[in-house]
Amino acid sequence: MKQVVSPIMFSNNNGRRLFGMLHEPDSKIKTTAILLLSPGVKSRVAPHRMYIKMAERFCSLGFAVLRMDPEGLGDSEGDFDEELIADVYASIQLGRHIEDTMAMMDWLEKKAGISRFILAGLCGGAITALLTAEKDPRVHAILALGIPCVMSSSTADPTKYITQSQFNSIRHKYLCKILNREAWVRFLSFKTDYKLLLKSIFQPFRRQIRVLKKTTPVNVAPTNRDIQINSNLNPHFHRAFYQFITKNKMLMIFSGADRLYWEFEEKYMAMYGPLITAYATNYSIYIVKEANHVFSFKEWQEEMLLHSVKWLSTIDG
Amino acid sequence: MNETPFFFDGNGYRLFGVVHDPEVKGNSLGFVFCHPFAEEKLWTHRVFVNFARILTQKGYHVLRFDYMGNGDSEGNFSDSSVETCLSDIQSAIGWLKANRPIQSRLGLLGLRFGATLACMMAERALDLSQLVLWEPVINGTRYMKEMLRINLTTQSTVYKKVLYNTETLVSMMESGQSVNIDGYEVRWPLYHQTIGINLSDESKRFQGPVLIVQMNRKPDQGVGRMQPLADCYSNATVSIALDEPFWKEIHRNYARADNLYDRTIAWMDNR
Repeated sequence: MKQVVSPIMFSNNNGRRLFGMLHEPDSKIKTTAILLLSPGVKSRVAPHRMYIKMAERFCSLGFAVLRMDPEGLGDSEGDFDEELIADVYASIQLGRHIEDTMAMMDWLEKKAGISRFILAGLCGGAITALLTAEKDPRVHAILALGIPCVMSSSTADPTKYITQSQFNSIRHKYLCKILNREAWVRFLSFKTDYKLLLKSIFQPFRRQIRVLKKTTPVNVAPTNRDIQINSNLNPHFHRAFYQFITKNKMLMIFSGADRLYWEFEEKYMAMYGPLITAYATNYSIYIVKEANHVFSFKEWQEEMLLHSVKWLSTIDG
Repeated sequence: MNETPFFFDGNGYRLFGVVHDPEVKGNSLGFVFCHPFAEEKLWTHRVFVNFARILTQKGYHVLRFDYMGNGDSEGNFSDSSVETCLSDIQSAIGWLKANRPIQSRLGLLGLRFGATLACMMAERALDLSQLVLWEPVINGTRYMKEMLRINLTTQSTVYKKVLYNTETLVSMMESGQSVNIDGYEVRWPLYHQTIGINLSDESKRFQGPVLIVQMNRKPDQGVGRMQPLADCYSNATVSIALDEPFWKEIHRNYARADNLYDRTIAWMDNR
């Protein structure tokens, strides 16, 4: 199916002009449109132009696809005040782009009369999709790639919230370097992160002790206070996720070698899994084995695209 | 802001650009911005956008655009090469000259590999008025080695070992396959043309003024690194800006590079 790609711009509620691209099929346009939401600071293009590949593929199915830069990113007007990138990510995880995402839906609704949307995105784009869906009933389905369920932080000790799988991976890396001369030079010249090294080595023993002490997960939702004390889970994640999957469809694709997958499994599902099993038909999780966070290799991209397309065909468009 | 996104014709494909028009009375000067390679382009995007906006406050016309297979332009990255990028820069120059009141007072501003391309373009389009080169990649062989190291790092992260070493990756490209660098598929023409680049190996034909900005984290770091390139020009100035390497992932959110901007504006104002 042929498609037309056009640059567009409009002003958001703050009066800032947003820039983006609209992909339109030249015939048989579906009544549901797809919005690809900015991942972190990589704007409407996304790492290695992933959103262009996704937009072209989804448009060939008959969907209009909109890729916009929210305020302060890409070509759009506005600025971020945060000095550190982790703080930018944290602000996104708390909903920085919700208003702009709603403005994008408003624009498409006004232009094309479309009032049902599938929100899709990688990482920051995925969490923006989920948080927007909590506020806007026009969101019909979500395609989330590597959705973060935790909070980024520029101040937290980076070793504090590491998952079991991350520790395993880190320990494996250290063990692989045990005969490496350069690694020993780093170790002896105080360039090694000793805290991380020690934690990764002793973590299995600590875990054994914790398992002995631990009781089974409770079947009531932990409070925000529990979350703040025990983990770096995003305080909005469960509420938004639970609310969405009780009524709508959501596909989560994770990369097998990505900490975000481990965090989702070990921090979210381990705690909240029992609460959401009743809605298991509404959400699905697909893992692209071995892939890294941004699906760098083309075989990973292709697998992600094929599975996304298969899932989209099940969504009433 | 006076900014217009649009497509213009490249060599058989559409190139995406944003033209920034002056916010004050125009000075009939214009710049075409040449962006860096692959993912470096994304990390540096806002630094380019914000500098274009600063220049419009000083009366300049600026065209930012994406090479074929990059950003929002048509085509696949795997089909791009140094030659296609140079052809695209030529198209961008042609568009800005034809559509804005600039005539011959047009310069190129490039960052990293974009600065390398700007430097090469200036040897072909001698009517350019000035060159601004931000931390140009001088040696293409060394740069491609760095890029291939990204592939090796991805391999060792994912497979816990390196399955294909640098020599094998080069052979793969030579035999027609692509090699993945940060998600971008690089083929032999791009690799081969890049490793042939050594900007400081001969004197340059371009006679206009050139600003070369070396970006350092510390003032005493790599002093004189850009001097061999400056020596190839008859009218080049080297300036050092204390900025972080914002073309890769760093802790700071680098939407602006104030030291770099200040050095560049000071040089422009002095002319």
